[in-house]
Amino acid sequence: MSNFLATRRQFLKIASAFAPLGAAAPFAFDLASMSAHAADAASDYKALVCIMLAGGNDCHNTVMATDAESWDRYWKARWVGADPIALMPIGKAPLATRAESDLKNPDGSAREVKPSSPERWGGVIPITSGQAVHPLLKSLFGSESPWSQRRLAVLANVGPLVEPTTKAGMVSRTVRVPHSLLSHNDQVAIWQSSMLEGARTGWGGAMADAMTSANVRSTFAAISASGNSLFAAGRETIQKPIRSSDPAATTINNTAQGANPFGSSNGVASASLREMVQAARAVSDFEDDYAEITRRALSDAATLNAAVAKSTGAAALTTIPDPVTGNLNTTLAAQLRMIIRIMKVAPELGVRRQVFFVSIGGFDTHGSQNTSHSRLMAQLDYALSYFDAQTRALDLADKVTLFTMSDFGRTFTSNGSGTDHGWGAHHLVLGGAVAGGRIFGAFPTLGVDGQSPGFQNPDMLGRVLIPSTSVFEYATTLGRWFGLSETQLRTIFPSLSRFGQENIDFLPRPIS
Amino acid sequence: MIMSAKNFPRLPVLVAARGLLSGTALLAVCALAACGGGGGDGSSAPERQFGAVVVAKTDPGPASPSNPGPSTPTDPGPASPSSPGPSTPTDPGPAPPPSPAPSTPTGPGPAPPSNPGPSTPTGPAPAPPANPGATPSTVPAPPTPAGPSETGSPATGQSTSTPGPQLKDDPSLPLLDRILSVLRQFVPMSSTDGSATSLWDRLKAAITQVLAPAPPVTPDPDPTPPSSGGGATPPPSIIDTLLEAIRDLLEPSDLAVGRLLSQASFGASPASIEEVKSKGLAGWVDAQLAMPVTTTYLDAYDLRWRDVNNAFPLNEPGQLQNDFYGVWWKRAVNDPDQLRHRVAFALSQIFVVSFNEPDLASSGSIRTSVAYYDVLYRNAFGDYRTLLDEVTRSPAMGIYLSHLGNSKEDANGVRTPDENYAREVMQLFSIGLWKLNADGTVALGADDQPIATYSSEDVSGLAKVFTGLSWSGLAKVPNDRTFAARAVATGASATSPMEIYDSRHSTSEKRFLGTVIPASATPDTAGDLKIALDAIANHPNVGPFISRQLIQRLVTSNPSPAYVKRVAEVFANDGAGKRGNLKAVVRTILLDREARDAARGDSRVYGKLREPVIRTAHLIRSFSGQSMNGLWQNVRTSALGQEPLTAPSVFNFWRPGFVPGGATKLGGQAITAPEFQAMTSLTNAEWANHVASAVATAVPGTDVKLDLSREIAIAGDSAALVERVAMLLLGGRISSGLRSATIRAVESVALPNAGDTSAARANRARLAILVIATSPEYVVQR
Repeated sequence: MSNFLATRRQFLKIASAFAPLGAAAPFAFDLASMSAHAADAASDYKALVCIMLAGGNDCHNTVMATDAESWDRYWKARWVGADPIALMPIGKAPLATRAESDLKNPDGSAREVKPSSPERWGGVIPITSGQAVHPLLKSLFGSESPWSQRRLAVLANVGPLVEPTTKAGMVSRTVRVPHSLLSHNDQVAIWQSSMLEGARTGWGGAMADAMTSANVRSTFAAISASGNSLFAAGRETIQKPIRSSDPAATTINNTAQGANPFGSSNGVASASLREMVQAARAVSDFEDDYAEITRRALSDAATLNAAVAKSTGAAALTTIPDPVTGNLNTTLAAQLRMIIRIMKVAPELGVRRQVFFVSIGGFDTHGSQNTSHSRLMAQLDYALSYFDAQTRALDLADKVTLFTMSDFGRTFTSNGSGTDHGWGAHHLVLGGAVAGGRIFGAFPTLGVDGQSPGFQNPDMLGRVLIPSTSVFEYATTLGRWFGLSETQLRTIFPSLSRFGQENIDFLPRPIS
Repeated sequence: MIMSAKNFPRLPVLVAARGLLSGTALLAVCALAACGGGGGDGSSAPERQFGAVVVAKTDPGPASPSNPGPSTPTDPGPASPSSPGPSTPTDPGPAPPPSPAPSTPTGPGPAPPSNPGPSTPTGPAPAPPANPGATPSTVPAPPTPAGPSETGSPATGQSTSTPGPQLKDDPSLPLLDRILSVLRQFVPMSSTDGSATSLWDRLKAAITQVLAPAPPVTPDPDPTPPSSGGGATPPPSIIDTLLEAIRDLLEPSDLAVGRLLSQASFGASPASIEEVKSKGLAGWVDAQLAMPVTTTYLDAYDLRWRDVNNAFPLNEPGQLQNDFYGVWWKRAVNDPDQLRHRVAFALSQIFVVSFNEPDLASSGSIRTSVAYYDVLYRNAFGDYRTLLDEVTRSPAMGIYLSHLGNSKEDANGVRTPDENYAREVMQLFSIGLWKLNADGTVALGADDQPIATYSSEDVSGLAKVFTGLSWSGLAKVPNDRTFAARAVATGASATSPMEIYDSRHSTSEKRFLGTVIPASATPDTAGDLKIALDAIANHPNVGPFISRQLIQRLVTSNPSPAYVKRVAEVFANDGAGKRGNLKAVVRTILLDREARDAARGDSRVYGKLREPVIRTAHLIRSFSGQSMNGLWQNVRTSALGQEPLTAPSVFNFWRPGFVPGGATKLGGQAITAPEFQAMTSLTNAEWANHVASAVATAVPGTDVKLDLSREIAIAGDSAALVERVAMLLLGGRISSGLRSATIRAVESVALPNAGDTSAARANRARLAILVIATSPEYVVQR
């Protein structure tokens, strides 16, 4: 298997080239001042919603090529091992559990359909003449879907890049590639901030910083339904963590913070507690930073909860069937529902530009992929469809663009029951402003070199995709729609000029 | 004299002090060397270890009085060859070849730059006799001790099977730090006869007496040590500090006790405070380190399951991770071997498996995870190589990182082995991504760039090693699906190490970390595993990589490189030539000056956020909380940002390098603060609510109730009440602001002049705890 990661020599070359986000300038200030003109124009509302598919989504079982040769290579790469993970071809009818499969196990033995067998879900869903998607993404890509109604787009083969990268360049080691490819935490950090683990600001937060003057109150400019994200952390914008159910934010409750807790009198104890719980003594920076986090709980939570409590209209969630057995949790949809409720009361919260971060874990499907990935696809299908329907019903669809992100793609080949870490991957963009129903970017050739006699794949090195579109190009397109100026975008993504594609037209370039 | 033989071990302190007070650090060092029996005839310089001088062993052991530290073998561990047998000499790439850790004593090598000079250690000290018992002493004469073999008192826990670490002295340090460091190493001996007070008095008198004339005995022959002490009488402030430090070891202050218990236990309880006070800090640590495993988690779990359900067999449906939590909390709060549990908990955040993996949280699979926790618990004071082996073979890890059922590559080369474990065992459990210096800082190449420890080729190569493992008890040649089935095995297989199935193991060439296992005709899973784990465990990164993280879990988020180095050196060689001795590592971490000096807490960036789980346990322990039905059901802390064995991913709740973002003070200085990664306004508010619930009724959702009777008894005196709560939670160090605010809160609960006041008193106690336990002053452990 060829090695696509750099040798040490090459690696070292990379290090100096991969400029950290914002290394060029203390851009928080720059961005804020640059955005002065944008503020006046920003009389409308816009939101970006990032969905992190944590663990590295298997893009090859999310969107796949269906021409005969590609499918043959797909099948040979994935109908292998103890628990083959190839999905069924277009048109194949679902089979019931315990039915006898018309397929044989890779070792040639007869095969009975298990609850997690791909046969149960039927054939992949064609979305273009040459591509299809996972059969469980039917609400998103089937008939009368966001795809067919052109609100949902696919961006093919995106990933972190230092500069445009070809296989030839990698083989000859003349191209610079990011550090620590295939490492979860580092690739998450690079996706979200362009820096390795240890980064402190993400481009979602940077975009919120840039749009500061559009917002009366920056407190709610960046919101995370998944704790402290790197993506939504700005230099000045502090991400606001939320829960996915009421109350949106945890407050210190009445046991502790009632008027007179524990039989105290005259509000003295309450005042003492309130003072001490956020006391920054300037003795320890650990203490002061902890106190500041608590201070925000005291100052913002009530405001947010009061506004969200009045925000109605987002339909209740339903239970969804588990594609393997039983019912699935709807955690992701619950996060999105809370976000919709917050977007609806944005004026009350004093914000016109918001960045949201939500996350769904479990995508690191090294093993048991048939069970875990099918569940994740079903959850994604339900949650995004819900989001699409509700934002349309509440007249928010044109104002919000939702997009996916993930650690990395995965290997094209199966390891026997799952897939290993990759690099490039396909992603989804959803919203009323999106030029949907199309695949953007260059859809890659799929297959491992030598898989059939003489086959050489220019788009994969070893088992992983070489991205053809940079994360920066992806992010820039989103940011441009969000309202950032070209100067601001280049400040956040200084290496952007290395890439030819300035705007990927899944979102329109604003009329200037 | 009344000093008993038991007290003899403290004698070296006196000698050390005398050396210091005579005016030169060299005297102290040499005196100590003499005391410890090191140095043989006293003519040879102690061996240097990268700036450290091995001066003595605390425990030469009865059989080896004449074999001092410096002669320890160079072999870093039991698995000796760095390139094990089958390896070919071919070096495939950039990965540094495994080699003995840099701190292994290798004889008088090139003098490290920090060493002031070859003549230093021999100096003009009193001629160090071979027998410490014969050390000339001007202090009030102790009885002649029985001999050096008693310096390692059995009561200290330095059992004969685990020789104590060598004393080290780093001449590059300021004088005071040097002295304190040496003293700390020399005073692990506990007071077991309750005579600490009188001993202290004697010691103080002795030091004072020696101090009074304070004549510089000899000019310092070597003025280079960058200390302030060269030849001059130490200023009184140094002496005060020295006295204070000695007292803390022998007769520790509330603060010293509280700090140690925050670092080495699940928080101070009234009983543990007394225990530390009676044993002394080092004595307590050694007593803890000597405690054997009593009951495994699995046994405790099975007993609890039987109690709850009055039912066997085990492994039956219905078992939940909650049942594990029940055992965990009961033991964290109540078990006497606190340090072992605390270290196991720290290890569970390095060698992560998690109930977030559905296959580990499924009904009936819980015992597999419990057995994994036992691997950490049993090996907490064991050796790293064994730990690594047991982690690798654990079916819980096999499920979590999917090497259970990992099969050799297909002949056509399309399907390749699962790389999950191969990658993470290097990235997270042993060496990390970047080549490190001995002090844990990232090493830079000639071009000033960091150096990757491994490439994706190493991962692919190593992945082949981790093929051929699955549940024990399968057919000798299992078929594809049996071999790869993740569904939890029943019976003994659920909790036994994974078994080797050679038929599933790759026989092709395996290259990783500079090691090459050539292709073979027959599979040898066991042999390959040994070669691979030896190569990993002997990589020089392991010591600094693991040591730094253990320091972060126990003591401080930003250990100095020197602190990391001191610990990593012990990791590389425990003083008896053994590599990876976690008992010695933990001891070194806790007794290091950077852990012990309370004054370090004055730094704005010292210490760490107390982990939410440990805060919760501390609250329960300090106020004698117990589960009313004894089952500790439903203690859940995920809303606080942490829950045992339930990290969001193999990357734990937080990363060791996390730096808070945004406009934070820590972030502005790039200060590491791992726990902040999970702290949000939600978790902080939740902590306040947890404390409020605990003092009001019970730990949320549970029947775990605090017993505030001792606080209630003194609640009429608000100052005394606050003092007591501060003693339990803060080691008595409370700011005037927090003290007065707490007193105000307490006193706003009126005590009726007559009649039943218990309710009001209880409320006063509750408020005192609430205000203090929710304050940032408490939440940060300094």
